[in-house]
Amino acid sequence: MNNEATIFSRHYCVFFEKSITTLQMENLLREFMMSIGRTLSRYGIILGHIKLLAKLSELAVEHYLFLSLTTLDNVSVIPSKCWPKVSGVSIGCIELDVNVLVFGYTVNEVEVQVDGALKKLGRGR
Amino acid sequence: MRILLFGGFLGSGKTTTILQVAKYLTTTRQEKVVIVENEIGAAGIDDKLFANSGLQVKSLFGGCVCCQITSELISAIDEIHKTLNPDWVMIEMTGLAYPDKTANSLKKYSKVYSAFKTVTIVDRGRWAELIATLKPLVLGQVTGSDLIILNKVDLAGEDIEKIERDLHEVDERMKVVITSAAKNLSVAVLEEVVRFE
Repeated sequence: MNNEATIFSRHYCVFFEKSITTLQMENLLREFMMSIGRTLSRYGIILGHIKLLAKLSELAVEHYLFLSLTTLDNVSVIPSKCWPKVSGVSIGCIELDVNVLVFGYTVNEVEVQVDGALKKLGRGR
Repeated sequence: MRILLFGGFLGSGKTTTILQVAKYLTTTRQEKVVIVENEIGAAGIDDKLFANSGLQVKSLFGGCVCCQITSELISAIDEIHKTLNPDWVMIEMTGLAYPDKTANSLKKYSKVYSAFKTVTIVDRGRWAELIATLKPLVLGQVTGSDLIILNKVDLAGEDIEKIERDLHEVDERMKVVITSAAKNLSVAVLEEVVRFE
């Protein structure tokens, strides 16, 4: 295997057709991570990591979810301290910082997977 | 000022472990901790987790401290000592770094610390696959460590004794503690991390 890891780091804004709740957003982001991870894994293992910071861009302070994936079906989710206070908020758009560091795949291959997962998530830009 | 250098492969649990060790030191011992975070990628993610926990964080982006921006790390450590003078500095390396290289550089060029320890986190769940595909990197990362935290033992994976044998082939004196940082580290493990001979 190539000893160079591929580093993919992008920022996105995602708009939803209809506003969603924070719980729906968390579930969508779990699936977003899994969607990327399923293709970039070997025998269920990511040879690297997939990390995501999702921020509620409609709010001034930092309300965010941190998600990471190294083993399929085991998405780790950590909310920021403020997160529970906004559980009733309807979300129209979110900002995503996506970091994928992985061995065995090119940047283009990673980008294709991330773009595909974004299309399922909402309208990205 | 004591330095704890944390290494380990991508996603092995470095950030989760550091957060718990830092919380233990700041709350139980009332000691001052500063985190140095070296991250690869345009946007920092882990540094926000530390800041969210009320910890002081110095972020180093733009490369890996073990091979590309070593001098920036040494300068940052000196600056932290001069301006903040904490009891502890915890350095989180990138998951691609060789902690031993950084440890050697810091020991050679930094004169501001009183004690130094390298702690490497190993992921039980991915050990077999990582050894099969990236053996030089993974074993290189544990080389020279003062302590190995064999993490994620609650997940399925390689036989724990087999991993310990692999580790002891690198260094038969290597100290290994077994845990799952996701379920909170025990006081015994926390004390082992912050203990100096």
